[in-house]
Amino acid sequence: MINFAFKLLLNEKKKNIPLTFIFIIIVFLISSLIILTNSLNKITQLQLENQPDITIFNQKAGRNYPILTDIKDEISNIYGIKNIHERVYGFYKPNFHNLDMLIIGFEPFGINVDKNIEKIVTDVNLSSFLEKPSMIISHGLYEIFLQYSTFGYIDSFNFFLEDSTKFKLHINGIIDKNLDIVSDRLVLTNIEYAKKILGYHDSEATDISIDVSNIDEIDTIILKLKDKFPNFLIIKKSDLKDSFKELYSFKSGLLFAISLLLLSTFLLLTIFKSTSMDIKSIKEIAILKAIGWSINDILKLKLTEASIIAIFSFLTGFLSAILYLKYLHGAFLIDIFTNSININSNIKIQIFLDKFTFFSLFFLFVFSFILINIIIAYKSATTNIKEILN
Amino acid sequence: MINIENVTKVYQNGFEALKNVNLKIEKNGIYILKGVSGSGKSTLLNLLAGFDKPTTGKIELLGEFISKLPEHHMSKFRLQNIGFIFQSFNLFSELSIYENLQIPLIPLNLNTKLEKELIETLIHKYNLSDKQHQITKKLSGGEQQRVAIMRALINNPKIILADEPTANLDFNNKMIFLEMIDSFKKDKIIFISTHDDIFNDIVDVKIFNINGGIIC
Repeated sequence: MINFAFKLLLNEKKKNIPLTFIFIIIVFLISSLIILTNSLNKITQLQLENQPDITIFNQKAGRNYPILTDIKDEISNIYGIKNIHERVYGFYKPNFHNLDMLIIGFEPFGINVDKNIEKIVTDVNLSSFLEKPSMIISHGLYEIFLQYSTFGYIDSFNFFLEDSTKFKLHINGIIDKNLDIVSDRLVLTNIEYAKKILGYHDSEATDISIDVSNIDEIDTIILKLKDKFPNFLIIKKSDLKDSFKELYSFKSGLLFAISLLLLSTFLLLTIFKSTSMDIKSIKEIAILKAIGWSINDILKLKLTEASIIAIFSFLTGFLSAILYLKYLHGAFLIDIFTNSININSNIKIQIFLDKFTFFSLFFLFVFSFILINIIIAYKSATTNIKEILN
Repeated sequence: MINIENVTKVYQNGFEALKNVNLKIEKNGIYILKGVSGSGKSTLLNLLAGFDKPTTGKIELLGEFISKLPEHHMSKFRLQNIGFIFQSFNLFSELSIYENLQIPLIPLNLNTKLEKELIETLIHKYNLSDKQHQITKKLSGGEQQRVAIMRALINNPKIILADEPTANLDFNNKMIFLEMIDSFKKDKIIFISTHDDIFNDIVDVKIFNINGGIIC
């Protein structure tokens, strides 16, 4: 049966090759979109997992203002708080390459509440931070600096401060490509220098981050914080996760619409292909019936034919999507996600593929294709054959 | 072995193709159903093959009332007992002779060795061994007819039905066809619907004439 199905498919190359090609393309696009969404969402959630339990901002009318670091003493009096850190970060925009650098301050010899930064600075020679003002930059930024090496950006960069004076930071290290998820325009420097570049006073920070001893007490601690600082915005990690989830669900909604469009095209093509069953195929079914094949035998043949096309196309499209995401890092498609949020556009995508996604896609494509083909074949197989054969 | 009793066939448009047909065939041999176009011979052949059901009456083949058989039983019955030869051969034109002969055997799930033996014996018997892997659309009309006959014979059915089998053949190929059917007439009932007079010259042939849906 399988041999015969193969032979019949090969005899109809002109019809089956374009159909298989379209099938592969649609599976590839939808699989890429869905796997990419899942993977980025998972990566972001993992990154957010490393964020502090509570973050306090000085927000007025929806805008963030520097927060005074002396509130740390007041906060430390609240029972259940494990550690408190001031964090300094923000964007710096030099006058070239339409560049937005993300400046993040860290404590070279202190504890950094952000575990991502801890990971990044582990392998850096921190003692050189004491010798001269230095920074660690992301790989993406280093590549941009290389383009401007004639300006001397090969081992250092001059930042313009608020008073228009220059402040030079030496490049002390380049972040491993695999780690720089936060941004590929990232500058990590001593918190003092970060304040200088971003225009903060010594007693100011971007936010205050807090870790708690017992996670079950977060809500109580937040209530106490709100009581002490009613004008500050206090966010817990789970809120941050939810806000990213919302962002992704918006993006996913967009992708869902695209996927739906592609899927509709696929179904229409499948239905069109099947309903426009040419007289040759109908005659083939009639001959098979005339020589003693039962309707079940014919449906088995059509099931085999449809399964060969569907499984081959699905696996080819799906594996192509995996290879595309793994080796081409989702080029072009990833821009849909990274244009509006600050996610590194050169990141290596870690593919998170769960069984549910695989089997959902498998059933969506393979099952629907086979089902439509079987319905149409059944219709032909139950038609009176005498007119077709005479 | 073939018993047709009071069979009438009225099509949906009201046309009465067969009118109270009665026919009995009890032994192997060649039986010719002669009649002009529209006389009802193809309708009768379709009923015998189980492609269609009579409006009234009974058709019994090899002790089985096929006019009452449900579709899936009819397919099985057809596969085991009936070989059909078409006027236009109805081969799978892109497949080889060998592959065309494999097709009726697929639902039987025979082992490869037995399948090969059956096919090669038949191909050898009808002198097509040298062309067995050639695709059938490249064969002559006579050769295609031989393949169609072989396909009808491959399952060793008791009954062979043929609808205008010589209509697309030249004289030489008609003679080859006659020789072929003559070679297996002792074992089978060969029921041929035709208006070709060439069958008149064969000895031991029973000819039925049909006209206006009535067998005379």
